Amino acid sequence: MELIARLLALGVPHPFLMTTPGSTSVRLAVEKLVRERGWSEALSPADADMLVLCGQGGPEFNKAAGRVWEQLPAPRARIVISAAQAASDCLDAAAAALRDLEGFRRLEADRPDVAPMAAEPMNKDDGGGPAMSGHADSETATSDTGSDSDMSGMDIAGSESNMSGMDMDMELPGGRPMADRGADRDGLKLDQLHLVLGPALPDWPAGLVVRLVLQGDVAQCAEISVLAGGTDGRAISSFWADLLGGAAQSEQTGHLELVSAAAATDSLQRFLSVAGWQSAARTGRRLRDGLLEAAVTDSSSTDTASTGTAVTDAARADSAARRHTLYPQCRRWLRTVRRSRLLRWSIAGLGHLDNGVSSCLCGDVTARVLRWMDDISIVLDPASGAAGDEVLALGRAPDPGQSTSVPDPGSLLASRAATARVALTALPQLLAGQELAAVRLIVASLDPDIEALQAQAAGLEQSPPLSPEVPSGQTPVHSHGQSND
Amino acid sequence: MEFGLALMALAIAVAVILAVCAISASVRVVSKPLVREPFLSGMTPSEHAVSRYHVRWYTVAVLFLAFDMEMVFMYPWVLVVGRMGAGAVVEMFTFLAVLFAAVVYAWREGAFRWS
Amino acid sequence: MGSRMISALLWNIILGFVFLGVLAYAAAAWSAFLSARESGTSPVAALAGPGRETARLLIRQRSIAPGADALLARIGTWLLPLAALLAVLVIPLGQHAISDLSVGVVWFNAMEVLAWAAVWMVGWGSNSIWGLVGANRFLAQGLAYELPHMFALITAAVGAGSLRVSDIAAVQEQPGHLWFVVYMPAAFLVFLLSLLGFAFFGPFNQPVGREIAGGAAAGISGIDRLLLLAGRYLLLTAGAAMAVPLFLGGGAGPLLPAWPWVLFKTVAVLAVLVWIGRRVPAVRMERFTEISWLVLLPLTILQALAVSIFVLVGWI
Repeated sequence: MELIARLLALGVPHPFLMTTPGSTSVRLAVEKLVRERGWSEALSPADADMLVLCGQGGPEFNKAAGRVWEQLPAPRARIVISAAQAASDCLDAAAAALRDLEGFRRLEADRPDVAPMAAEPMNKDDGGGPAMSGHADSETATSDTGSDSDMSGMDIAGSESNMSGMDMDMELPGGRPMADRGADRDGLKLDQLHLVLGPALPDWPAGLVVRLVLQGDVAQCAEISVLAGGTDGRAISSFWADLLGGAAQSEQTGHLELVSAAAATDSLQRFLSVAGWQSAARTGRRLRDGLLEAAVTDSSSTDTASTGTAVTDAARADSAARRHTLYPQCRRWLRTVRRSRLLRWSIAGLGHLDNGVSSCLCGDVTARVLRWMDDISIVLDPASGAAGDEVLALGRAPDPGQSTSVPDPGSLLASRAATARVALTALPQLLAGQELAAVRLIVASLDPDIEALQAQAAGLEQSPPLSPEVPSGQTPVHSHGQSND
Repeated sequence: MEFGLALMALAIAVAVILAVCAISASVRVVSKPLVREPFLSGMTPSEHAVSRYHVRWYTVAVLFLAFDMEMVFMYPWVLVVGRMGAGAVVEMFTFLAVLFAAVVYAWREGAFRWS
Repeated sequence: MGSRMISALLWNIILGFVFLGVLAYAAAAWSAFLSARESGTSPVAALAGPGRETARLLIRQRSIAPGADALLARIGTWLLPLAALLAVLVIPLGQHAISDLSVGVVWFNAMEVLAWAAVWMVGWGSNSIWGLVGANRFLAQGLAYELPHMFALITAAVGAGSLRVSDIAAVQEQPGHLWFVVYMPAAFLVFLLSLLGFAFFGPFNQPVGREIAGGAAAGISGIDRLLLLAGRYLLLTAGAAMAVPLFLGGGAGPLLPAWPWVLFKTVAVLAVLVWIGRRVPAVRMERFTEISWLVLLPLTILQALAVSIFVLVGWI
């Protein structure tokens, strides 16, 4: 016992993060804390001992979280963090729970076996496939399979073929059928697997769900949907759009660029992570935290400008000092990434979008990644981005001609939302026929801001989020994409 | 008994791994393995993952087999090349050149690109 | 064979395994050190990281999916460290290897190819799509790196006219002979590259890639995961140790006896491998295979030809 407790205390937690749309601030806070504490993020529930839910999500999200929770081996702990300020205390509590041997042993004692059918195939006549998620349902309290939009067809198809599978062969473990065949692009009949990307996946845009039909590791077709964010009634706010809006209002020069650089760094570090360049991604994450902190300090210093100049001066000196250390690091990082021929070679020619779509999405994966780098460079070397590159800093603005005037928060949100919508509309065509690795790269290069999409939709409707439009559950995006363009 | 020591090493290596497993079994917090559905980004899998996986690099695999068989000749060749002199070198590398011509042909047919 | 001799051999084997384990830990710690520096946390504290991770994995519950081939996956996780442990058998630490087989080079090759089977078994046996994709990625990767790797091995053997690893090292230690890395730089570089390949490390880590949720390792936890991760570092270390007798003169060096030189050179190769491996983004096989077959393969064949000519002329 003594030994086990000691070994337990030695272990460094591996949190598995799930983020709801609307909780980017929480995710950023948690990622920063995880990094500073030297914890390492788990890639799958099997490796995780801590399930960290950033924000409270809708029923669909909770169901997914419940399933992931069932897949965590012991020792395990689970926390919901709804506000960025609470993140530190919540993580402390979870880490403490992980070391409480007696505590979680008690919990594990009456842990239900998630898949009793594996041992006893006869027991499951009542449930079939859906019973697998049954435990998750009871756990997360507020999930109602009938009313929400879990009509994606997959579950239904799954349970139907389940029944037929069981008629033929009672031996199939887990109550699931074997893979079925389908025609591929060359006219062969091949086994198909159904892979779902998101909502619970590292380095994945919050709230995005992509259902792929795979043959080998090639996606035959892709279906895009979006998870509802936020708990009932509470409107979603878009973290980056709000921050950009605030910066646009502030009188400080270069503040807007700073925020947009922080946003670009966030997207870029995620992309690098997906591209399998962990060390650059890790550096990027640290620099993103630095840029974000600088941006937030700036905005608070402008807020306090009316109350007292002393405070402002101190804050300014502080941020200036930080920039002296931060900016050279950013420059070095950016140079390394920009000069990597291997990266260019391995992402070249993927996910090409036509010029017509949107000013900040056109081109291929490389073009979009370079655009993020330009967004960051402007802050580092203001001289280089004097006139022409200004457009890039405000790349999210729909019309480049207007970028010299001060954009109001509403239009910033609208342009981010529009970009996300264009990205989601384009995704099914872009992803079909791509390798799984390329699928991930393309999605990461588009990095759709689902949050902005839903925040804007909520703002437009001025009504609870159960509108027929964008934010509600599993609406396939391509159905409404055209109407909005 | 040239491989006697190798057998002994195998036994010790297995013993080491067994010992690690035994240690783990004795300190594991929950000894019963967790039976859970496979991870699918928080969704329910609709079928078993084990399936006939479409390997689109199968032409490379065939080509590899051809070349790999060649290695069977090459290992013994190493031992005699010093004694046999230039003849052995010429023969072996002519053979390799023929094989590589096949590789170039396969490349022109697009065997190495499958995306 | 007297019992004293047997116990001496036994100690030889155990000592070899201990050295391998310590070096593998050093490689993992070095990797953790670099990670911590990138994250801006204390790099020194990270040196204990692999040890703490071992403790964590030792006490964790195992996890399997219904319908998974758990036995197959289990064998796979065993096979990886086993292959690495057996591969060091032929690597001379100083003058003597644990078992100096007359076909040492082939033995090493055979052990390292076991990794193909191991990773595939783990991925397939976990009954998860991530595992399946990761497992098959590793096979594609094997097809890409294996042939250049074998030619690199052969080239060193041609240089010495022997498949016995200690013979290869001995040739380089003779006065008037240079290390093989001078005669066969291309083979050496390709060998290092393929080390990263079969240990699925650095740019070749796509089989356990982050973007497929850990790939072949996505479904395993606890002791299974520990064996897989440890096996991977052990393989990398065994490969780095093999580079020393093949290309870097074995125990040759001034002042010190042979065995510290072997250790020192192994550490140096390992440190460089880990450092380089982390400096570059992932390489995807659907792009790399072409390069490997059309650039690396002819390069290593030409290198083997050049070395054969050197041998005929009498330069080596």
